[in-house]
Amino acid sequence: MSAMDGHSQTNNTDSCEPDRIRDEGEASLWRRALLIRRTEQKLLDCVRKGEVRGTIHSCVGQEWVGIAVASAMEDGETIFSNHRGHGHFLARTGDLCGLVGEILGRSSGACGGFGGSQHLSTDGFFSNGVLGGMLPVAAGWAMAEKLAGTGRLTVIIMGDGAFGEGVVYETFNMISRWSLPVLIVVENNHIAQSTASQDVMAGTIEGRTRAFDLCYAKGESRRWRELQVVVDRAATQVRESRKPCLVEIETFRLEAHSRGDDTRDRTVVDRAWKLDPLNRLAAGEPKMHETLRSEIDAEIENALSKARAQPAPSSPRIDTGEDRAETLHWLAPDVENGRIADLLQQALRESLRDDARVILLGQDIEAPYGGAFKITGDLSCEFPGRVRNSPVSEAALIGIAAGLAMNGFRPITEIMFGDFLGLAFDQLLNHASKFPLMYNGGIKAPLIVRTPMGGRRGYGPTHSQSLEKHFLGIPGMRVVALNGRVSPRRIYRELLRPAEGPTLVIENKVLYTRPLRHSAPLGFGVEMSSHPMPWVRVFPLEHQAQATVLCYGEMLDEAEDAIDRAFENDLLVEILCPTMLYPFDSRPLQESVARTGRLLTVEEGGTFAGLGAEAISRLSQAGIHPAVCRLGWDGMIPSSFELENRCLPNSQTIVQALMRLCHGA
Amino acid sequence: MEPEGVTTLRVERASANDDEILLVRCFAADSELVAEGQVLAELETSKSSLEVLSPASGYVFFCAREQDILHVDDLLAVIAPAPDFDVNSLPRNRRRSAPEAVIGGPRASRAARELLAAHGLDPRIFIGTALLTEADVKAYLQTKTETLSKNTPIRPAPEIGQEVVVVGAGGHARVCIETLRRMATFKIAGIAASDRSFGDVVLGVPVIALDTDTRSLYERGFRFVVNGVGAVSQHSRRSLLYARFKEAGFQLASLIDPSAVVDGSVTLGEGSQVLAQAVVGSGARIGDNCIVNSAAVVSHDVVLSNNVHVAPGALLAGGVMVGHDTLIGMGVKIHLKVQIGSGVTIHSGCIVTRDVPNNAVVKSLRF
Repeated sequence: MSAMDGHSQTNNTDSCEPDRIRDEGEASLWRRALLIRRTEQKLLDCVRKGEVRGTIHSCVGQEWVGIAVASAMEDGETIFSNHRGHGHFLARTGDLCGLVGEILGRSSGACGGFGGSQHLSTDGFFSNGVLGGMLPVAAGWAMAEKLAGTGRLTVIIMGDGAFGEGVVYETFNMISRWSLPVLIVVENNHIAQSTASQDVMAGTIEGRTRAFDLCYAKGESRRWRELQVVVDRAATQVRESRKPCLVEIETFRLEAHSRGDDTRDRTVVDRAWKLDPLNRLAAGEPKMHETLRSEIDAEIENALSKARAQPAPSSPRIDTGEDRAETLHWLAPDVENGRIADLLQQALRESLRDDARVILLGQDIEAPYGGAFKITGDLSCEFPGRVRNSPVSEAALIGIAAGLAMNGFRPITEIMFGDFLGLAFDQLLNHASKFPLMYNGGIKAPLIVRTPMGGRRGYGPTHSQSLEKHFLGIPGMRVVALNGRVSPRRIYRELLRPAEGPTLVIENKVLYTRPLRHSAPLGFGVEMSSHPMPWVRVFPLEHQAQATVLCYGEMLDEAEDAIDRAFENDLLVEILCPTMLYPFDSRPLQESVARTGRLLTVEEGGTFAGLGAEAISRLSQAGIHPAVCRLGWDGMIPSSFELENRCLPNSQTIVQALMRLCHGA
Repeated sequence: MEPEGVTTLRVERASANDDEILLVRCFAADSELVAEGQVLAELETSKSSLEVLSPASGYVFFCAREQDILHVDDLLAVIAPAPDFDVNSLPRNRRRSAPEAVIGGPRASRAARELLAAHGLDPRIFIGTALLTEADVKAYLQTKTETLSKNTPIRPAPEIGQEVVVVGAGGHARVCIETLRRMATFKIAGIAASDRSFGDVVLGVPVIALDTDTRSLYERGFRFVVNGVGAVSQHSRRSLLYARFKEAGFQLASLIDPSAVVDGSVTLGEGSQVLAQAVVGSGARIGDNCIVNSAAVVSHDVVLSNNVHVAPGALLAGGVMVGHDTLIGMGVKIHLKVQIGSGVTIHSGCIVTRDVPNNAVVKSLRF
């Protein structure tokens, strides 16, 4: 690596002298850099005039980074970018109309007007507005390239600001340890919106890079000719060695972060304008510059006119779960034998066996340990290389899974405890679930995240929660909860059908060792709805139920015990239990509650703004106004096993609530 | 309290996550002499397999069977000082939400049970229904007062949605399966057969148990069975199976093919079957475990005792009475008000014009 070492670059001798173009190749690069500059300036003008709403982050002064990266990339290779990505997009794709249309919010834009300035995508290009968040996604994409043996490179361009985010280091570790073919390009403009990097960053980018045993190289956007060589050499090395590399590029943002928010010393900025390579070329090649500029400006005007003539995008599709045309049927329940943990392992085995794109990732999931709850067991031996241990890096793990899913794989990740999902929330909320929507259907990210939730194990406050309500209602993300009746094998057969976005699968840990239920309480019937992810209905035979219990997950077992006991008190109650929590089709519940007139919602997690609250709202909107009662646990989960069991809803408290609901006692 | 000299062996917690543990294998038979430290059983948690060693020397008695799922602290076995130890003297392992087993009647709520007892009513009069609430009993008492009827009307389409196991895998079982499908009120969960291996499939219905293994079926939660053994050549087998499943706590489901005509005043005992195109006339009373086979005609006021098989196409005129465990062959015609004894066999095609004594075999075409 010595040839690529940062020290091989001579120290910058600042020059404001006019510069000359040496050959055709340089002229072509200059033209593209100037296109970026003029486009950014024109777009800033559009912002000032109010034609572009929101904001844009211009890359004026940093154009040569995108040019160098694009030059180093080969056909079919993929690039991930950030909030300041217009230059990267133009350099890589040349799609001026797509960019301008997108920023003007037109249906002709690269993402149909859904993504906008910070969320651009076209074939092989993806940008997003969360600084470090795209790094694991790029790593996952690269992992897919590596697994598929394509030999292709994946590039990500980040700013120095991203170095404040933890997911970056989680991913540095994983791309280094797993030797993923990623070229990380860091545009170091030494400033956040207004904060100088040196005020908030300890150490150096180089030091942090080398700490993860990553190759490091350095370039400078003002030395644009050398930069081409540095980036090209790094890209070649990643392709040949199949190992990641980071190139830090010193650069200067000539304009404000977005607009009107520049707090820097004007003399420093003015000096930077003089040192700017494009200005030096303009001075050295005035005639050529004039010709180029007028050509480019005409191109931009043309793109703007075209965009202005296009309509705004039509309404995005919203999946409420209830806008489906098919009528519902009730069918016989699943009749598989076995413990839920075993059936789940069998489901994963069948998924691996039947679909070569399936890959399992998670902490401690390889044999002989086989997962904290032993769900993956010996699968790593049965499917070598396809069941992999990851470090304790939840955010990077989910991001990598998203990248794998975008690039053709069907990753199934295990988060050891659902309580740790908070660490990965951004990757689900602002990345995986958003991609299919904000890139206007241009990409799918069908990853599956499995996680055990729930209490009754004495694990205490941070290992016992039921946090699923925090993940309900995220557009583009399905949430499924296993229960004691629907076979996990059936659920996974359904999950592995073509899907758009991520699915979170909640597994109550107490369910694992229980057998799948077949029988109903004596005198009760069981049915499952015709939904792909069925509702379960447990109901008194031949009798009209007096109340409906809505529950999901492990609470189904408790509710069944409860209606069994409630019958002894002459209370006839039916249960409705959805498997798919979001999107939520409340029609089976509406039908039941319209008959019974009473609803008890039971959830193990908090009731505030939970599924029960949502269900009651949906009923109310549908003109059904039952007497309602909600059961859940709105406090912290105590560690004391006895106290925990008293806090969480159980069959006894459900019976008591039903008595109150039906008899007011 | 443990009996003198007896060592108990309970299921111990193997990991924080395993409340339930699978008994994979027992390495000794009940009442077998075992030595201290001998491997008695293999248990399986979600994490690993465990061998259970005998804590003492003596005679082992298991309190669970292979493939049972046990809870932590459940009794696995006892080591007794003598081979004649009564294992029933030990407390039984608790079952998760074990529903109260009801023999010979519907499941009644506490108030319903009290009301039945107060009126001296047998819950079996409600056979054919699944749940009995206090309101149901009150409604029955009201109706009874109004009509003074002794008969329980047939309840159409009972037990909607309940799972039912068909006992038998032969020709009559197939008839029962097809009838159940036409009725569409039950869900057929599987077949319990006498000799077929697991995995066999009859008309799409898998064999899921041996018909001797009533305990396992009950523990798997099944409560309803259909007696799918016609047993024309070995009539007693059908009643044996009926008794076996009744004893184990099951309810024998009755079948009425949708194409049969059964008058509203007919009473039908438990587990009786009225098959396609059969006609059962006004006021007829049919006991338990009977078959009125395809296209048979059982006219008004006929009485069939238990375990009577009326074969296809037989014709019983009004007021005929038939004793228990009697087989009436195909196409037999029995004249008005003739009395047929118990244990009788009447061969196909006979025309019976006079009474038949118990245990007789009728072969002559005109009797």
